[in-house]
Amino acid sequence: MSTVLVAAFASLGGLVLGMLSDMVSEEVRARLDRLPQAIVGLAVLRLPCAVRDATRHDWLADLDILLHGDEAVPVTRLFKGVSFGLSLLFSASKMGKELEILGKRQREKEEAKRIHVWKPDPITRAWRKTSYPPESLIRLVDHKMGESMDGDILWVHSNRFEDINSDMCVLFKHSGRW
Amino acid sequence: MEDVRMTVPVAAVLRAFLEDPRKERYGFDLMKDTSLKSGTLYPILARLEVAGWLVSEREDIDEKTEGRRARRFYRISPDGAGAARVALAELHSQVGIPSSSMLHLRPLGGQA
Repeated sequence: MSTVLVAAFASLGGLVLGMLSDMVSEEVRARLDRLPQAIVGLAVLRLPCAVRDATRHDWLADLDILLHGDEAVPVTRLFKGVSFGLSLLFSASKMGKELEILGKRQREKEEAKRIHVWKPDPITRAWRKTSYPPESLIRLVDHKMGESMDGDILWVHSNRFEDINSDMCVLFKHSGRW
Repeated sequence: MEDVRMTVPVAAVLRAFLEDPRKERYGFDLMKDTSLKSGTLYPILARLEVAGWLVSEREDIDEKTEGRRARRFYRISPDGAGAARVALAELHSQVGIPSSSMLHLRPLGGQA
C-alpha cells in the first residue's frame, strides 16, 4: 500500500515539477523578450524630449521585424534584439540634433497641411477662421455639418452659433484634437 | 542640399540606395544589406535626411489590423541620388580603388 502511495506521490510530484518548470521557462522567455524593448526605451531617453515618441515608435517598429522575422529562434532573437538596443543606446546622443531638425520639419509640414475652418466665436459671435488637422474636416463633412469649398475652407451649415459650436466640440473631441 | 562627410559606412548606405533609387528601404533591411549596426545606421540615415539626400515617411497602414507598428521607410531624393553618385566617385578616386571593387567593400562596424 505504502509503495503504491509513494509511486502516486512521486508521479504527482513529477507532474507538478514539470508544470512549474514549463511555467518558469515561459516566464523567463516572456521577460527576456521584453529586454530589447527596454534597452531601446533607455536609448530613447538619451534623445531630446520633442523627438522621443516618434523615434521610439520607429525603432520599435524595426525591432519588431527583427524579433519576429524568419530567423527569430529564441537565443538568436535575444542576441540580435539586445545588440540592436545596445548599439542605439551608445549612439543615441550623437543623433539628437539631427532628429530635432527632422522633428521640427515634420511639425512644419503638418502645420502646412492644416485646414482652415470658419467657426463662430462664442464671445464675439463673429465668424473666425481657425485651422485644424485634415482628419477633423473629414469628420465634419462626414457628419453633414459642412462642406469643403474654395479648396480648404469649410462652411458650416447653420446659423445657430450654440448648436454649431457644441456639435463641433463633440466632433473635434472624437478626433482627439479639441 | 547640404554636403555630407563621406565615410565608408555612409558610402555603404548610399550604395544600397543607389542599387534601386526608387525602392523604399527600411532600417532593418538596410542593416542587413550594409552589415551596419543600428547605432551606426540610424545616425547616418538622420544625417542624410537632414542634408536632403534622403526622404522618409511612415508606412500608411492600420497598425491594429496588421498587428505591428508602422515602419519608417526611406528613399533617396533625386538630388540626393545625383550628389551620392558624385560623392562615391570622388571617394573611389581618392581611395584609389576601382569603382567596381569599392562597391563590394563592407565596413567593419566602425562609426560614421
